[in-house]
This record gives sequence, C-alpha cells and structure tokens, in this order.
Amino acid sequence: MKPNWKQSVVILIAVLALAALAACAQLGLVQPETVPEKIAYAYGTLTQVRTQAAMLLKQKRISLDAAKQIQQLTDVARSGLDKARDLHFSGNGTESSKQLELATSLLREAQDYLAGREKLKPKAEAGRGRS
Amino acid sequence: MNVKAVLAILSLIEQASGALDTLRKVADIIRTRRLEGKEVTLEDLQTLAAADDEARDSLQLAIGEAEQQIGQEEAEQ
Repeated sequence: MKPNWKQSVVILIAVLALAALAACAQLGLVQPETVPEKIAYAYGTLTQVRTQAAMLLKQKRISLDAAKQIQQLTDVARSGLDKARDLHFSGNGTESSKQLELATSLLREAQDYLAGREKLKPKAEAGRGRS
Repeated sequence: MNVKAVLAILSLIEQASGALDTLRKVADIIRTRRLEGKEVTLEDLQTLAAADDEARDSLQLAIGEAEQQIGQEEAEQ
C-alpha cells in the first residue's frame, strides 16, 4: 500500500529525528531530558556563543557593534538562566521552565545574530561599526 | 579551490570543534550524573556558570582591545 503525503511527512520526520539522535550520539552529546539538564546545555551554549564571538572579533570577522550586541543578548539570557536555575532548586518548577524557555529563545537569537554577521574572510574595516 | 577558501573552511571546522568541546563537557556531566542515578546538581550548574563568566570576560576584553585599536586608528588619521 502506498502511503499518502501525510504519512510520508510523518515517516520523513521520524527518519530525521532518528538521524539527529544518531548524530548526537556520534558526537558524544546526549539529549537533555530534565530541566536541570536543559539549563546545563543552555549554559554550555552561552559559553560557546561568547567564545566564538570573541574569536571572530579578534579575527575581524564581526564588527565591534555586533560583538557588543552579542554580549548584551547573552547577558540577558544568562540572567534568565540563573533565575531558572534558582527557581528550580527552590522548588518552583513551573516558573523555572518559563524562565528557561525565555532564556533559550534569547540564546537562539544571539546565535542567529552571530551567524548572520559572520564574514568568511577577515576584513580590515570589520572591526568598526555595524556590519 | 584556492588556499584562502581552504583556510576559511578549516577555520569553520576549528570553530565547530571548539563549540563541540564545550557541549561535550556538559554531556559528560549529564552522563556522569545519570550513571550515578542522580540529577544534575546546583554545583554542576554553578561550575558551568563560572565557565560562562570566563567566556564573558574574554569577550569583554576583546571588545576593549577592538575599541582601543579603533581609537588609535582614528587618532592617527
């Protein structure tokens, strides 16, 4: 029996999800399941975004303004993560999840911003102004 | 493919590898706790937050250096 388009989409999503899980396992990563595990991954991502921004600024592959913008966005995300952590360990799971969701969306914004401003080649004028 | 393109690709691979290192450390913490049958602790998260503090300082330092460099260039002109 030939599957219809809806079944095909479901099968495709299932295959992609399995491929993503297999990729995570191969890279030595694990899928976060609980709130503290998700907060842990978010802290790691935060560190990674700031480290990458510092490196790109030194290589003049992002502008000074872009680096400042990343620092501001990640500072706000960090503040949300700290709140989520403290709320979780003081027993307020619902508020903790909300804070985590907010912080994660800010973090995603910072990652997208950084990816959108990165230049493949360093430029002499990249250190200045908005790119 | 020219040398610059190869270097750019290598640089991207290096960045991706560095990013993975950070996330692998987090994965190690989670894996260890799971093996112990425990949840990620407040101390684990504080350790990760401390690593972010260092990354924040490094970015702030790079921003300061870039500002200084731009100031010098403007003064020379």
